[in-house]
Amino acid sequence: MRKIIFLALFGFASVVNAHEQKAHVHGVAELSLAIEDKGGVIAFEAPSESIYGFEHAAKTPAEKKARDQAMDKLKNLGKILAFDATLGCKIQVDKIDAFVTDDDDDHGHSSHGDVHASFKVNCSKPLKNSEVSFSFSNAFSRLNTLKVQIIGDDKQSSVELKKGNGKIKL
Amino acid sequence: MWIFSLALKSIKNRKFITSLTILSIALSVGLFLSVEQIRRGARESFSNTISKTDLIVGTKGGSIQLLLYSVFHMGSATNNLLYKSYEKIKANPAIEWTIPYSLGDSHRGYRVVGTTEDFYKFYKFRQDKSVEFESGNSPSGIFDVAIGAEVAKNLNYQVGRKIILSHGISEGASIYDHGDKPFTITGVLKRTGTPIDRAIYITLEGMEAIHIDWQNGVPPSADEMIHPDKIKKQNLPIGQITAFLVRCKSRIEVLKLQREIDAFKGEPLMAIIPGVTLSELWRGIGYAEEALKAVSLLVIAVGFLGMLVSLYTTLNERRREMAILRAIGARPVDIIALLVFESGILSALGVLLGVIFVYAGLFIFQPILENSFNLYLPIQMLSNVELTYLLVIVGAGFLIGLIPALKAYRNALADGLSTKI
Repeated sequence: MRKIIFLALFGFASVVNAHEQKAHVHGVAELSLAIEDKGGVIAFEAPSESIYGFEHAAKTPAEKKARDQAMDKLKNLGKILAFDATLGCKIQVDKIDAFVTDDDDDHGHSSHGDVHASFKVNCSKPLKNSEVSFSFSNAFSRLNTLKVQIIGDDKQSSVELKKGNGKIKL
Repeated sequence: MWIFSLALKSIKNRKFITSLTILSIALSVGLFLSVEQIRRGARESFSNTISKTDLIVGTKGGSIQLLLYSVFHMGSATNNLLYKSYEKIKANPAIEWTIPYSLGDSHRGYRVVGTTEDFYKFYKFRQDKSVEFESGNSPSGIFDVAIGAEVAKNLNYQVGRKIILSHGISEGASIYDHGDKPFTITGVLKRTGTPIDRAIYITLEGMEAIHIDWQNGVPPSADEMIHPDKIKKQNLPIGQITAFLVRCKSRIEVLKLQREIDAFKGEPLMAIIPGVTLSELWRGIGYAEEALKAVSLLVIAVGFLGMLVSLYTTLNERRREMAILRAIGARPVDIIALLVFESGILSALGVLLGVIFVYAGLFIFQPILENSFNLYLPIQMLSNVELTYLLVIVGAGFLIGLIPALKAYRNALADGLSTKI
């Protein structure tokens, strides 16, 4: 019987793994939020196509404009990712890369490009048990799913937000 | 109020058929609640198995496989990682502690885990509980072993007994035994309600020692065999381990460390966040859970249908009863209320009995589930969601009563009083 349970778990495991790996899936962005007491870090990763509409280094003025507009939205992350107002949190940009390609590509050029961004969070009160709300669809309409990982001291979880909107308890 | 007591009396009067109706509703409600309880229990028991661990590191592969074989001792690893990679990562200043695991052997179906003193010192489950000893202490010598509570109970082992480990993982008799190198039990762990109870712990050196003279995966012949007395801890370099657990000094460091490990130069490694991977697993199983839930709701619907049929068919027999009630002054509304109450009372009793069934079942099967599936189902209050469902079910019971009630309401008074029935 235990074998059956195990087989069932493993069967599902392989299904889940299919999209669990850090893959480049258009329309899917990943956001990780690690918190410790009053601080935290946020890491954001998404295919660049899902963020500003194309997947190559921006060349034309129109492309550059689209890219820069999208990066501005990311810089103001506080507008689409809101911590509980009473905690007095400030989100600082740590690093934003508008176009990161896969280094492992043998051909010298890669067909996939990602947006990478990281942020620092500082609050005046502990973040534990507070609620974070996401409204990514306002800024990035091409996103279908935002996968959010929460890493806390005694809570770790992963939630998929449709269209990048929703609330998550820390 | 007299209608309510009349409804009760009417139910009592048809004991057999009504008790069958109640039973069928109770069974369907019981099934529904059991599905919920097992779902909740399984999730809690899985997530209670590991706490305070930020990352689990293994060779690249499926993240859920890594979680299952390292923490839950299900399935097996595809590859080992080099001990020197472990030491290199361990030196990272962001790390508070690590616990190495070396897997692959077993003893009568129980997994053998090679680890270090850090396991007993740092491993946490159920939020902040540590591994404790029922008797004896942690293995320190090469051929020392500590056993989980269930292993001790099922095999009737005590401290001091010598056991022989088997190569590979098999439930019954294995092909290769490490018969030349017996181990001595130095400690029995306290029951934890986690897979630890079903595991056997030796030192990393012990794991190396039993394979020291093996070549190409087969045991040595008699003259090649190295006698256990000749093996000393100092000259037992540890070559590889299967996985290791990591706790960072601060959660802030976890993501950075995970990225560093994923990009580790020495060999292909990956680091998973156990709680996150568990959520992924639940999301995958979620569909099956929803299907089970849908089936159990359908079973409830069938139960209700049974009640409807029994109420509806008795209506013919009860025409005269209704007619007499009307004749002595009951209004049509009273007739409706009578039948609605009857069906409401039946479903309420069914739900109540169903809840009793589930708790009685939990009480009886809890130890069995814990022993044979390592699934610890806590006996706890019904959740708000479950209570809401139950209220909805009782409400639906009342509503269903309206169907026979309207039929009774429409039956002509004269029809019931005429003598042809």
